[in-house]
Amino acid sequence: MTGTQVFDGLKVWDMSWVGVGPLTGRYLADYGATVVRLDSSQRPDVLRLTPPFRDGVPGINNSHFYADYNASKLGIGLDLDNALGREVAWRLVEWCDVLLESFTPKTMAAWGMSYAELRERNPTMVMLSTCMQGQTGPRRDYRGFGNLMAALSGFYEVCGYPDRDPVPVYGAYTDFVCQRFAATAVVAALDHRRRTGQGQHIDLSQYEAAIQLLGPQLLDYEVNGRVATRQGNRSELACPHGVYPTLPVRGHEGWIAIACETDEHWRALRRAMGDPPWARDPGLATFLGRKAAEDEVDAHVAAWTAGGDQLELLRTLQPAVPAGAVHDQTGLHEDAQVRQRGYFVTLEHTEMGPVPYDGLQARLSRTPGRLTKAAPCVGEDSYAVLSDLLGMDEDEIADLIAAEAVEITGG
Amino acid sequence: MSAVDARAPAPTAGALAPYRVVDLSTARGWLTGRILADLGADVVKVEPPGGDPGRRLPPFADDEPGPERSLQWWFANRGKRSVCLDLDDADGVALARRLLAGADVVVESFDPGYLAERGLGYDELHALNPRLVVTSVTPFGQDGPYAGWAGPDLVLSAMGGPMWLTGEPDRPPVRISVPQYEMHGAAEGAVATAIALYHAAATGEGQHVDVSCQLAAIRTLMNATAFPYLEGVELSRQGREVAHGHARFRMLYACADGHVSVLLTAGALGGPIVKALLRWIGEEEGVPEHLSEVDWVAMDFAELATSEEGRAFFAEVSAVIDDFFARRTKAELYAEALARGFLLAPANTVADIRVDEQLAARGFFVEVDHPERPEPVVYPGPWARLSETPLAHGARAPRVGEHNRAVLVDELGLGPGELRSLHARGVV
Repeated sequence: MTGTQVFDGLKVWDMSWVGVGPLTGRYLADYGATVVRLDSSQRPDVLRLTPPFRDGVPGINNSHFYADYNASKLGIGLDLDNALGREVAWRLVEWCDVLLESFTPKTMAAWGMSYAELRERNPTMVMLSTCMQGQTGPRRDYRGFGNLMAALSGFYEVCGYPDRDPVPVYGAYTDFVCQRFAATAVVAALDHRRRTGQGQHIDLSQYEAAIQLLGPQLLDYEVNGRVATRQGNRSELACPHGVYPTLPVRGHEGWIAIACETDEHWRALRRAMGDPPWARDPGLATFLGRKAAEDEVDAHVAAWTAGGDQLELLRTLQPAVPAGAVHDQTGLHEDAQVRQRGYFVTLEHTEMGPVPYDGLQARLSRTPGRLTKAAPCVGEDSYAVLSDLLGMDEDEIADLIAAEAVEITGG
Repeated sequence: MSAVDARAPAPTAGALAPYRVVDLSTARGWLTGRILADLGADVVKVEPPGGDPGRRLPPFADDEPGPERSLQWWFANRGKRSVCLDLDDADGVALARRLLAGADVVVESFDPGYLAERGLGYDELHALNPRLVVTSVTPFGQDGPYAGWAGPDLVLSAMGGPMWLTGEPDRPPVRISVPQYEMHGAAEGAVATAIALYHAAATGEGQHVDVSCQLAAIRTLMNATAFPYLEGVELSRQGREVAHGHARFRMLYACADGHVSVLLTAGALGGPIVKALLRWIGEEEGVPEHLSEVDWVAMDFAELATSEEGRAFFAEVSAVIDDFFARRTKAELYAEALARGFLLAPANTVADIRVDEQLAARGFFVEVDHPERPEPVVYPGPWARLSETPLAHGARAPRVGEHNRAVLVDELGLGPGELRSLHARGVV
């Protein structure tokens, strides 16, 4: 530990799994907290079974998905169906400042680990419970994940072309909305705790947090009765506003996004295109004029971009015209700005070796966070957690191993 | 009403109640201060005289434009106070400095360099108030080759990677039609601000928090970014199907009144879903035996889904589901899936969300008084329930300069004559 991290000394027992909970824990870990993540090869986190895998070979210790979401953390392989295993979980409850969990409420209750029960043993902890639809109400035990939540939360309906079915947003979209609200709530609760000594329970419904990003549309429905729907890449505020073909990029299709939000942007686009005769039509000088001729404008712009190199077009257009390369994953890794920010961080994983991981989206000038390690293999850190953090001696640990309450590998 | 009803009055102050936030942000950064206000911070929105330009953003209440009618403004500035200051005027800057000298946080989202040109750059602010957290939310961050480039939502969706992965193969990649990625950046600004504030409270040391909306967009790609390195494959858009490594599975179906999402896959995760769904279809209308007797849980989906034969098999199952769903509504399908315990979600519209029974049971939607309107307006409510420090809600967004007197005279100690003279000169 460098001694300069914001959360040095903060202890986090991360009993959560899949997306929102572990991602919340990763903020704390990246800024210096000691985070212990619950792990098991018998009841593995579904991410351990989900690609990408090193060389495409499925394996419980071979999923980068899991390794990324649990970077900078320690792990402990623990059987919660085993009485001794549960006792270790309780020791960690007493040890921690923050407890994270993302099961359905009935799961925690079945383990005797509701907030009311946990608080008896650790009254000042901050506990985050984040399930799909919240700790109360008729659908509190709804199981699911962020892909389904993106449908439920209204994002599919507003994605795609108006003349066709919606298209799913890629991935467990709502997870990446909710992680931000969850982490903010936990850190704010820690701030309150430091001032007052008071712990608390945070109930974050992923449904309620996700739909914040449709806030203006919910108000538009409430006040004006308008139901937001999909409109391709078009906008009610900008024209042209779309995605246009370029020359191939790395052997496959290339696209560039262009968004003329003002008449000034349009004039700059005209200059960039060499002010072709079609663009000099005075009818196109205003947003409303361009909007009325949007199909033609789009066709002309596409004809111009089609012969261009994606990155050359980008450098020609920016910053006078809002434009963006439509990056594939390699494009993200090679993006000059992403590289300058040092976003992707290569970490050594015990089985997968060196691979890039998603890093930090914000830069704090005096206490920058950092990724300290890839997630452990199952059981890799168990001994260190039991010995160094919980202070167990060799005999106690041997008993846990004999009872198959913990999984310990290596060491 | 349940015990956690969001409409119950807050019994205590919020978790961030001791802190003063000066919010200089443009529209792309509004949400940061809104989240901090929800947590109880005193957030003072500083607007140019005449109002924040973002007040001109549609949609408007009753579709009538006006600075007090933007619904984006209403949503993202709820719970803040407003003062007007002209940052292009030396007296306005001097007042801003007085305000910032006593603040804990300033949030801004101008293009990099804008505040420095006005003597309000990070170094000047740090000299003025060493414990100040200065949070900047911009499309690409404060430095680097693209700092200062224009980055509206469409550009962020492109440069951050979501767009490449979204849409149908026979059409260009597509964004989510409702702008998202500035809000991701602004929400990330709230996380990073809370972390820096925690540090400042402990050490007295402020710092510059530099958020990149492009990077916030990249984080939404879930597991995609490492595929080229681990599996040698570039994921791409697949319409209603989702790329899962080399395999793909279908996620979306039309039904009688819209669409629903079900995963058509197999194995430990997807197998039980398909099994339960086909059992239901079988009970209602019958399913061919060679489909109903498949062991969906034991099936190796990844292997099957990459073979010609496997694809044909899944296409056949898809057709059975398409036919069954076409005659049932979103609500019917959702209700039965809940009763049978398999995973399905309706592709809700905002109208569906507004009447959702789970949200109603939790008292999610809240009434906010708008004195200019005959009835309160119903807003989306709290994004989390904090047992000891509930989120604040209920105060509408401020009118232009509504709190000039309270903030500048009562709190900053400006004489009433000074305020009148500044007002006459258009500084406030």
